[in-house]
Order: sequence, then structure tokens, then C-alpha cells
Amino acid sequence: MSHTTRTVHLRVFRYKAGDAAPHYDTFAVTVTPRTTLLEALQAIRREHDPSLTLRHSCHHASCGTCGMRVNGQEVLACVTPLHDLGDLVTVEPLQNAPLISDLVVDMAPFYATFAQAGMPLVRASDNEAGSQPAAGIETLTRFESCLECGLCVSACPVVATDPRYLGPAAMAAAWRVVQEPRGADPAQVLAWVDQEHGCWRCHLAFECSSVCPNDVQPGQAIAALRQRLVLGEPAPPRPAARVEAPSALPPTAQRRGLAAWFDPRGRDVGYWAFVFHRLTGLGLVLYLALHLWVLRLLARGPQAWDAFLALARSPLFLALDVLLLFGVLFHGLNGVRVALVGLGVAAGRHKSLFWALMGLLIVALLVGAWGLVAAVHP
Amino acid sequence: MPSPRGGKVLWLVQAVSGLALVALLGLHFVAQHYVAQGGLRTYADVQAYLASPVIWALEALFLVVVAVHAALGLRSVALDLGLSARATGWVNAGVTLLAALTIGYGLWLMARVGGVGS
Repeated sequence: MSHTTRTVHLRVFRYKAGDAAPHYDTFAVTVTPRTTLLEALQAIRREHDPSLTLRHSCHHASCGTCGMRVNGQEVLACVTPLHDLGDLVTVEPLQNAPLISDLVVDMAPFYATFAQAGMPLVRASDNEAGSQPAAGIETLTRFESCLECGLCVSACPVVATDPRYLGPAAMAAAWRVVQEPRGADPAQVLAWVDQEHGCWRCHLAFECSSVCPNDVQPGQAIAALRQRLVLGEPAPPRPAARVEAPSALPPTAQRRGLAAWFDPRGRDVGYWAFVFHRLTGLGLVLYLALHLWVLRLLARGPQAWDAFLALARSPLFLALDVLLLFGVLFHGLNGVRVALVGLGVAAGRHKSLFWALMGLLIVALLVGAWGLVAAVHP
Repeated sequence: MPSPRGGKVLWLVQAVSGLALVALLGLHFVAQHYVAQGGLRTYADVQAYLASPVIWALEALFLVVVAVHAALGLRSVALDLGLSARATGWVNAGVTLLAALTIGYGLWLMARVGGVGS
């Protein structure tokens, strides 16, 4: 219907081997409510620029090959409608993978981690109607739901900075092996993830689970691995071939680094909880250093300390105390969430838990701030 | 330098120390700002406060736990940056030294102002 069509400008990331630096080209495309990003990009290839490189196959979110970022968020282009995304839409390749050309990245390093997890890239067919879970399996949600699209690895803030981190997809695969070994040795897989750059490096931002197009929930899988490692039987000695974890990505990968931690586009609540937990943690360490430095006045005797108290009761110090209280409450309450969820407790309800704790934070902050002011100015 | 397996132990120490801090820091904050007359303790108040062996022990425990938690937190942030094994070794040594100095200085200060839980 013509009245529902509109023009969208796609700002597309461009890079070819040999280019000094990437740049963006903007294309105007006419879209209907049902036009997908993949269809628009194919129209650009047909009508504007056949040199635009992209990867796709099935057009129905089954093959996982058309992963890219739209306005900063990882999506499958084939199932992403353009109509409601605004007049200007930025399209970029996945992060944390070697860039080949335009919107195409090299997925080989990503695929290689599956074999290390004991889960080679062989998918079984979908569950048949009426089939029952095997003994010890809660549901029929299988890791084979994973499309191997790489969206989770692109969205992970830790992969963005740590090249040795195994990453969410590989550890979700590892959890599937532990959950349902089918002849594999789960102890070996547990030994593989039980390392500093394995499941313990994850900070539970859950962005992997948020962007996953098929509800694989890698974040919850990592929490489950931790729970098994803490509460289950001890893992065997690490096999010699796996003593040094191979880098999940080569150094040439298009890695965002620390900038990824502060890119607000398209991120979910768990991601912001991770970022603020880091910021408040660093802030509290700075405060601890300042606090100890001020406490040196105690060693100088009552005159020095009591003179400082007059300054400490000033409105500025009171305001800083309230800021400190906020930092302590956020870090402490979110820390409780991280500790619980990190051990697999309420991992599936980590967002609800976060908001409940933030509600508690507001109440505690109001009561605490009032108490501070009332104590100084009774 | 922690072994490659150190991840689990250090993560658990970080989590348990964090949970302990919720109680210990809460106690410290309430004692120093809400119970103290005028919102802060005078020098004489601090001496009287630390004269209790129980309080002294709790504040010393708070100092140790907060130093360990902070050191592990700094280490975790540093390791997120994908450091080399050599740099990781320096970070381990640095945060260990930092925690030891913090604990040593804090205990010295508490002993100087309030005695040793006398």
C-alpha cells in the first residue's frame, strides 16, 4: 500500500581491503512496514552500489549468516523491519571479529571455539512433536538452537577488551555438553572453562542473552557452569593441550576495546548494571584511598582531627556523603545480584532482581540521606 | 601469581568478601554517621569507640575485607583489558602490595588512636 511506504536513509559502514580507514555511505531506500534490513541492503546492491558486501543465505533467521549491527545493536538483518527504526539508520558489521569487507566479518575464529568446547558444528534436527526430555534435562531447549550467528560475541563487553576470553557462544556450547554429554567427557569441558579467561571472566552483563535471536541464553549458561564448578565435583587436571587457552579472536579483530563499555546504543539493563558496577567500584576505591589519607589526621591528635570535623559538616561534604551513599548502595546491592546470579541463582530473572534491588536502593538512599542530614543538623 | 585455575577461588573470595562488606560497611557507616552525635565522631569519641575489643576486631575485619575486595576488583578490571602474562604478574604483585599496605596502615592507625582493643 503506497500510503504506508516511507523513505529511510541507511548510513552503511564501508571498508575494503587496502582502504586507509573505514567510512560511511548513505543510501535512500523506500520501505514498507514489512521491508527488512536485508531486503533494503539487497536493493542498494541492485540499484545503487553492487560493490556493497554482505553475507546472507536463508532469509528466515535460520542460517545465522546475516548478523550485523543496527544503530549499535546486534540483529539478524533478515528479520529486522526497517519501517520503525527512524529516518536515519546506521548499519555496521559485527564487532570483535576480523573485518573482511563492508558488513562481512571473518567467522572462522568464532566457529573454531565450538570445537574447543567439545561441540563441533553439527546440528541435529529440531525436536519432534511429543518428544520428551532425557533424564536429568529440564526442558527440550537445546543448544542446537544456536544459529552460530556471532551476535552474542559482538555484544559482549568482555570480548571487546580481553582477547583471551572464551566468549559467550563457546561457553553456552560447553554448558550443553555438560548438560547432555552424548558420549563426550563433560569433565574435560568443565576443565576448559574453569580458567581466568573462561567462565570466571564473565561479568554477567547478559547482553549476549539480550541480543540472541533464538533464546539460547549464553549468560545463564555461564552462570550454570559456575554453579556446577562451585557445587559439583572438582574438575580434573587440565589436559596439556588446553593449558593455555587459545585466543578466541586474532589480534587483527575489529575489537572495540574500552569504548565498547560506554557505547549506549541498543544496550539492555544488564549491560548498564555492569558499566555502573565498574564505575562505582573504581569510585569507591578512590574514595577508600582518600578516606585513609584524611584519617592520617587522627594520628596527629585531637586538634587536627576536630578541626577537620567542622569542614566535614559543611553542605558540600554532606552532598558528597550522599553521593558516596549512592555509590555504596548501588555497588553493594548490584554486587549481591552479581554474586547470586553468578552462582546460577535467579539467573533467568536477573532483570527483575536488578529492578527490585534498585527499588530498595531508592528507599535506602532517601532514608540514608535524610539520616545523614538529621545527624549533622539535628 | 595465581594459577590458571585461580579464577574460581578469586571469584568466590570476591563474592564472599562483597557479601560480608554489605554487613561490615553497613555497620561502619551507621556507627560513624548515624549513631555518632553530630554525624561524625570527635577524637575523644573515636578513642572511646575503639576501646571496645569487639568494635576494634570488627573494624579490623572490615579493613581487611575491604582491602581484599578492592584489590581483587582492581585486578579484575585490569585483567579485562587483555593483559599479557607478564603484565598480569605485575598487576598481581601491585594489588597484593596495595592491599598489604592498606591493611598495615589501617591497623597501625587504629592501634595508635585506640590502642589494640584495650
